[in-house]
Amino acid sequence: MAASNLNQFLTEYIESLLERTTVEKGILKTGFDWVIYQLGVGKNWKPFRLPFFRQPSAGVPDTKRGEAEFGEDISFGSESGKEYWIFVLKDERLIYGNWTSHKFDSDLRRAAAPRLSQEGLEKVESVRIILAYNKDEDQGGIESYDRLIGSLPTSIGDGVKLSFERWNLTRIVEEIEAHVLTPDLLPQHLSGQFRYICSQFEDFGFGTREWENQLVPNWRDFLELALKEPVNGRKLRVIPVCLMILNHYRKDRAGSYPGWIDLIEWAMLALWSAHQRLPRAGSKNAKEIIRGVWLGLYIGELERYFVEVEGTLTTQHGFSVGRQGLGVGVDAVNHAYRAYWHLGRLGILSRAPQDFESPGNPEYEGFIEEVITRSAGWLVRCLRANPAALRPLVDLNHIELFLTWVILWQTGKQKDIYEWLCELESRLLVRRVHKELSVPFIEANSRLDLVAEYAATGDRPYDYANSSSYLLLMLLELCFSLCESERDELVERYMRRVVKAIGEDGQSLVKKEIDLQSWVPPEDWWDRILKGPVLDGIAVTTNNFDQVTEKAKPLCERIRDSVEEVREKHPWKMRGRDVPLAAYILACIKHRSPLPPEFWRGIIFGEPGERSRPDGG
Amino acid sequence: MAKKQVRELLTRWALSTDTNRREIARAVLRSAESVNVAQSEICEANDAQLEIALLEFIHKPLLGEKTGEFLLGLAPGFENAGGELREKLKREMTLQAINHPACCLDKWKKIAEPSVLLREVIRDAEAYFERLRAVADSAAVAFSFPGFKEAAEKEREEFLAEVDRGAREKSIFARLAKNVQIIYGSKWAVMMQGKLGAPTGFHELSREMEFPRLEVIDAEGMVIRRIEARNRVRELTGGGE
Repeated sequence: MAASNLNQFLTEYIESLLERTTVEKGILKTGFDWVIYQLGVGKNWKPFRLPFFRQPSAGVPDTKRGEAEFGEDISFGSESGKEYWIFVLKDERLIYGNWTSHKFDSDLRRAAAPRLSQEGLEKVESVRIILAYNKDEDQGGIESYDRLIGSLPTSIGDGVKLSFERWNLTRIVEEIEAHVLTPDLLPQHLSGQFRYICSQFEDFGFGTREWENQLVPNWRDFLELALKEPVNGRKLRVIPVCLMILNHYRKDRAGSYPGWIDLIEWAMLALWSAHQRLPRAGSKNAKEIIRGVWLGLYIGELERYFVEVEGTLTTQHGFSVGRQGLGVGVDAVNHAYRAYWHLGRLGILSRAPQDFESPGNPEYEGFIEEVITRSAGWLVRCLRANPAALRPLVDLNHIELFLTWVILWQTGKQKDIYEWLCELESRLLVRRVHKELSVPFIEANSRLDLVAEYAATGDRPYDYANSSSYLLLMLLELCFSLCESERDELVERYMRRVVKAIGEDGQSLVKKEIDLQSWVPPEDWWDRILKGPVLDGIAVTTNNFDQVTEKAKPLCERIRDSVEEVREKHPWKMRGRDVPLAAYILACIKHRSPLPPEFWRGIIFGEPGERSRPDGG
Repeated sequence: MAKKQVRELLTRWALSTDTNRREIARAVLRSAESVNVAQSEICEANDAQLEIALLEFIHKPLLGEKTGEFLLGLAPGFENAGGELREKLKREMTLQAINHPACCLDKWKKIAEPSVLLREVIRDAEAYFERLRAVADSAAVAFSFPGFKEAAEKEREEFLAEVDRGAREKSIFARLAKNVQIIYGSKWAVMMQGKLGAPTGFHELSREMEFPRLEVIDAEGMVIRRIEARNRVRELTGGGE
C-alpha cells in the first residue's frame, strides 16, 4: 500500500479520537489517550500515570474520574528511571482562540511543575513535557506555545533538566507508524481478537482451506464486532487502520497480496452494509468516510495490484505458469479459477469510478474514460493470451462473464464481443461433447470442489449437476448487444450446439439438453445481498423457448418476448446509486450469489416495455 | 524391401490424399522406434500433399520425440514451398516446441547448422518461455482455489494407480510369474527348498515421457485444432474418412 494512503487513513482515525477514553451507557469510546499509552509502551517506556485502569481481560478499561491531574494526562518513565515524559493531551486545534479557552496554557504551566518527590521518580534527571494534540494548528497557536515555553524555566529543583516538545497530528502519526502499527493500536475490546487474526494472516496462505474456513470467518466476526451499532465515524475509521496493520503483517510471500485484497473486500462489504443501516439524516460524514475507504483504499489498491500483475494478464498462458499438480485436469481448473478471480476484480476496478461520476465535470469524465479504456486493453489482451479466461467452471462465473462483456461494450468493442462469444461457444461445445477432456462442463450448483474432483479422477461425482444453466441464458441475452446478423447467428449456434448438443448432421451428440433458466430476485435483494447470499426469489424455466406451433417465431424473437414477459410480470428495478453498483457486484462474487438479470437486461433491452437495442457505445 | 525403399513408401503414403494409406503410414510411424521420413519424397511433394501431411499430423499427433522428428523431416519440403505453407509449418513447429519443450525445443537447439526456419522457431519458442519466466513469481499466480492441494493429490494417486494397472496388464512377468508384494527391506533373498539365497537389490524399471503442456493449458483449444485440421483434410481430399 502506498505510504501516502496509509498515512491518510491513520491520520483520519487519530484525528477522530476524543482526548479521553470514556464509557457512556456501557458503550466504550476509545480516546486519544489509549493511543498515546500504546505508543509509550511501543517505545519501551514504563507507564507511570494513566487516565484509565488497564483491564487484563479484553474488557472495557475503567476511567478515572474526578482526580486532580495537575496538567498531566499520561506520564512515562524510562527503564533506568532517569527520564520522565509527561504528556499533555488535547483533542482541540492549537489556535490562538483556543489557547486559554481550552486550557493549553494552564495545563502546560501545571505540567511544567511536576512533583518529582513521588515514589518512583527519585532518579529522574530529565523531564520532557510533550504537548500532543490530534488536530491541526495555526501560526497564532504555535506562537502562543513558543512564547509560553520561552518563559518557562529549563530546569526543576536540583538541576533536573526540563524541556518541551510539541507533537501535532502529523508527528503523532509518524510516531505511530514507527512504533505502534500493531493490534495494540486498536481499542482494547478489539485488539485481542485482531491479534489472533493477524497471526492467522501470517500463517495461512490465501486460497487454502485454513484461509477460507478459519481466517475469513474470524475476520468477518471481527468486522461485525467492530461495526456494532451505533456506527459512528470513529468505528468506521478503525477498519482501514486494521487493514493497514494487516498490510504490515504481510510477508514477502507473493500470494499475500491477493490475500490482503480478499480481506479488504470483506471489510468493504461490512462497511457498505453499515452504510445501509445509517439513518437518512445526519450521516453525511459517515457515508463520506465509507466512500473514501472504498475509492481510496480498495479501488486504489486494486489498481496498484493490476498494474503490478499486468504482465501475467497479457502474457501468453500467463495464468498457467507454474505447474503445481500432476499437470493435467486439476491444474487446468486452477488456471481458470485464477483467471476468473482476476476478471471479476478487473470488472469492479473498471466499474467503480463510474458509480461516482460527476456529470458535467470534464476532468472526471476524462479520468473515467481512461480507466475504462485501460481496463478494456488489459482485458482484450488477457482473453487472447489466456485460454483459462475462456473456461468458466461454475454457473456463478456468469458474474465475471457479465463484467467482461460490460467492459467491452462500454468501449464499443463490438468486434471483440462477437469474437469472444464465438470462441466461448466453441470451447463450451467441446467441453460439453468431448468426455475425454479433463475439464468438465459448467457445474450448475457452483460446486468447485466437485469440478476439481471430476477433473482429478475423470469420474463424474454423484452430485455433479450440469443439466441446467443460468449462465448460458445470460450469454444468449448478451448476444442481443450485437448487430442483428451476428446476434441471430450466435444465438442459433449456442442453442443448437451447446444447449441442445445437435451435431452438423442433425444428430444429438449428448443425451440431454441443458435447461435454460432465468431468475427473478426477491424485492429485498438490495437490502440483503451485502450481508450474505440471496438465493430465494422465483426460478423461471424457459423450456428452451421451444414452440410447438407450426409457425414458430424466430428464436431471437422468442427470447426477447420471454424477457419482456418476465420483466412485465415481475418488475425488478435497478436501485439508485447510494451504494455503488460495483459494491453489489462484489457482494455477489464474495457471497457466491447470482447476479440479477436486470444488470444486463437494463442495458441491452432498455426499460421494460421498450423494444430498443443498444447502439454499442 | 530395403529399408530405404520402405522409408520412401511410408513417406509417400504419409503424403497421400488416400485416407487409408495415411492411416497405415501413421500407424507404422507410431509404433516405430523413431520417425525418419525420406527427404527425396518430401522434396518432390506438392503443396497440397505437404499441407495434408501437416494437417493429418495436427489431427492425430504423434507422441513425444516423434513429434519433433516428424516435423523436422517435413521442414525441407515446406521451406522449398515458401510463402503461406512455410508459415503454417513454422507456426506448428513453434507450437510443438512450446508443447514439448524437452522432446522438441531442447532437441532442436542441439542441431548443428539449423535452417533459417528452425532458427526462427527456436527464437520464438524461447521468447515465449522467457516471457513466462518473467511472470512466474507474480502474485497473480501465487494462489489456488481452496481444496486444490487435496484434489491434486487425489489426481496424482489416481494417475499412479492407473499407470500401475496398465503396467501390470502389459507385463508378462506381472501376468504369468508369481508376484510377491515386499513389505519391508531394501534387498530380498529367496528361501527355496530349505536353502536361503544371497540377498540382491531391487531393480527399478521406469520410462519417462513428456506430457504435452498445451493439453493442460489449452485442452479445449487443442481439441478444436484437431477438429479443424480434420475438416480441412476432408476439404482438401474431397471426401470423408
